Amino acid sequence: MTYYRNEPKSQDRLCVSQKKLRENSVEFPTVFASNHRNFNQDNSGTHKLLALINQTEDPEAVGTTLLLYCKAPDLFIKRVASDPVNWTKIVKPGGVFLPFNASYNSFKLPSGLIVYMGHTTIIDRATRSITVSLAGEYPYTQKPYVYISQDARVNTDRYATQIYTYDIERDSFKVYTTWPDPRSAVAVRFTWIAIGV
Amino acid sequence: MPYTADIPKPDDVVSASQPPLRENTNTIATIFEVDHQSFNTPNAGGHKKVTFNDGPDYVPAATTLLMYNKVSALTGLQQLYWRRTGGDPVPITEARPYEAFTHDELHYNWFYLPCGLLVKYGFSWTNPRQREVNLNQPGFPLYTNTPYVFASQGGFNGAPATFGIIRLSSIAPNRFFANSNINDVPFTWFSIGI
Repeated sequence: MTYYRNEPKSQDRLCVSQKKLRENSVEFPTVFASNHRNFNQDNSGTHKLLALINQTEDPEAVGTTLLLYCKAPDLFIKRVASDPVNWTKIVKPGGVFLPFNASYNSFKLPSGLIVYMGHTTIIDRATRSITVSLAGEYPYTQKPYVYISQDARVNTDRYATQIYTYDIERDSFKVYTTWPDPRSAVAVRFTWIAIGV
Repeated sequence: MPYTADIPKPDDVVSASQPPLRENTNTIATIFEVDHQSFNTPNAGGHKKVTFNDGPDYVPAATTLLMYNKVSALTGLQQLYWRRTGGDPVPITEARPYEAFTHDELHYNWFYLPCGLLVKYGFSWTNPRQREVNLNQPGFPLYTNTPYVFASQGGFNGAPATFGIIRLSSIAPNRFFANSNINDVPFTWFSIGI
């Protein structure tokens, strides 16, 4: 069905005018009901849901508005003079969530803070250290805060060593360990998470 | 205010058509401005707010992302969900009703991040009885993939008697172990995953 704009025309005969008005009177509530409680219902005018149709370009926020929109497949928020923030994307290398891998996952918080998290192994017994890369789809523009926690793959590998972070930069950080632990022949593994902008 | 659809009828005289058309015009403006900037105002058509009614799990059409409100089966509370085409619903606002910090390892908290990642956080000890933490307790949302898990020594009452170094191990979707170089080190932990 069609919604007629700027109708009826002044030259329309009454029967033509009636038809256009009648079709509009049906079409308007039909379209309105796609997202809203419809006319003649409880809470009419409120939303049943908010269906965000894919936008191919980032829309511009103006004045005091704040935009919420979809650029498929993700949800974005944008305020005036700011970059859009993707609320819903989890960067998963190869499309797989990777807790134990040399690679890592990342995402943004609604505030725009960027989070990287990964799992790494120190294998260089000479330097007892490793450089962890923070280069990825969401580059940090300032140094992030980094947290680490030591872990192992099996429960029998239970003895811990000391580890700490140093040389934290926008695109990398380093981790040092007191390893080799005389009681353990295995490498030192740790989970890490970085938060920043 | 009533709205009358499918008018005017072909046989309506003008004087009969005018009142319901006039009423419809007013009703449209009144209903529209519940959540939107009204006609003849700056930013007309923009949203003032979005009042979400309680609904079912709506299914999005192609290249559409939905937001809606539904009562969560986990918490029994209204939650705001988003859902993309072909995806599962994500409860943006859902969290376990907060339980204050406790030394009981079974009473940890959890919440969802907007991107859909699930965060759980709690407390336990590295002694043989409590060093295995069950991440997927009955009634809690479940990890289906191995999460990232972090631990930090502390959380005891009073000053620590000893310092320990904690190493987690055997991390899986449903549990992890915490071991230390000395016995019975208390620690707080959190995990992030899907």
